[in-house]
Amino acid sequence: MTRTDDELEDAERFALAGLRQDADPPPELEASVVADLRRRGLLRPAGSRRTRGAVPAAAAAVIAFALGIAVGLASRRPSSPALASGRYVLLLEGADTPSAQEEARRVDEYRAWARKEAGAGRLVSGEKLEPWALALGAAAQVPAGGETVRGFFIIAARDDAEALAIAQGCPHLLHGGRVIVRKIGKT
Amino acid sequence: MSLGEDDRELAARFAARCDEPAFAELYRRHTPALLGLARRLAAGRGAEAEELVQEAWARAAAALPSFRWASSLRTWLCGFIVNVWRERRRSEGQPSTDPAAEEEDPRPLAPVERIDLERAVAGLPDGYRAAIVLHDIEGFTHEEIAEQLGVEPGTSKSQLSRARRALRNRLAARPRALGRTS
Repeated sequence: MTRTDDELEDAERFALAGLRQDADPPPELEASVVADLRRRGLLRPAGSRRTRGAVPAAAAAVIAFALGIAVGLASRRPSSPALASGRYVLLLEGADTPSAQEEARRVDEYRAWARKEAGAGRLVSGEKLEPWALALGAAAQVPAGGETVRGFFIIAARDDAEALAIAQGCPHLLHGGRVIVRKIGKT
Repeated sequence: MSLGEDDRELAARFAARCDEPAFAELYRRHTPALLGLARRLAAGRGAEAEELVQEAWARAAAALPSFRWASSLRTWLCGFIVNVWRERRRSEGQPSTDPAAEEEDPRPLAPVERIDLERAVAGLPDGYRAAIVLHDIEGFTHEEIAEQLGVEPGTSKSQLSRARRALRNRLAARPRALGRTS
């Protein structure tokens, strides 16, 4: 075969082929894909069932909150990468301790907000965190009452200003809580 | 348990019953490669790459029952990544090639650091980047690329020639020349 100027030398060929590398998908991507396919009616969830009553009521509320966001909303990742150029995490700190009834109401409130943001392509995922925490490392210390971060949302925003505007609408601020906005770095 | 099942068996199970475990196995088997491809096409933009993968899986899952297995499932899935990426870039009005990038005479590509090569590929205009990524990095044939892009194999070949020229020129124009990395 005649080599032309546009053909690759062996060294070039190896160098370029060496760039081929699989990527390690983040776990939330699988959750998003599965949720998306379920929403489109292309997947039927596996038929495993938990024993009724095996999950305490409080834990069930937490699970409902978490699933409401992780499953119901993860399927609505931003549809336009051109619009969502950055991802941010909203760390929810503090807030008062509600009664069980009030907590259920707040779960609905947070979920409604999260759905609205997800519908607009601004919410990627979110989870509620239990106070229990274990610290590791040289200066490890956990506050007496447990970790102060109560939950988080991951959002997609064009810039810092839009991320801040989204955070300002978070219902956590209505209940004495603090929302810390951090931009997720590129890796 | 899906261990040992090949792609065709898993796909059949998924197509017949919308079987989630079968899909999960297919997802875990192919997504690392799809995400790798998506990242290279998206020039390293991670969030965009993940969105490409999500949209590609949505389209592929819907089309899987009609897949004729004329190629491997991996190749077929990669086609969805490429097409979703192209649609998005087109909708953003991005130029796919840059004639100025190939004006100079092509020179052989000197030994370069991997990072320089990655940057040079990422910096190519979309159309050239796609040609280099699909053929020289991913190893697809011109026939496979032509099918993915909906063009003639000859078009894929000529696009690749121009892309290689642009890549060489881009590497030659680096601010500092790197010696051999041994």
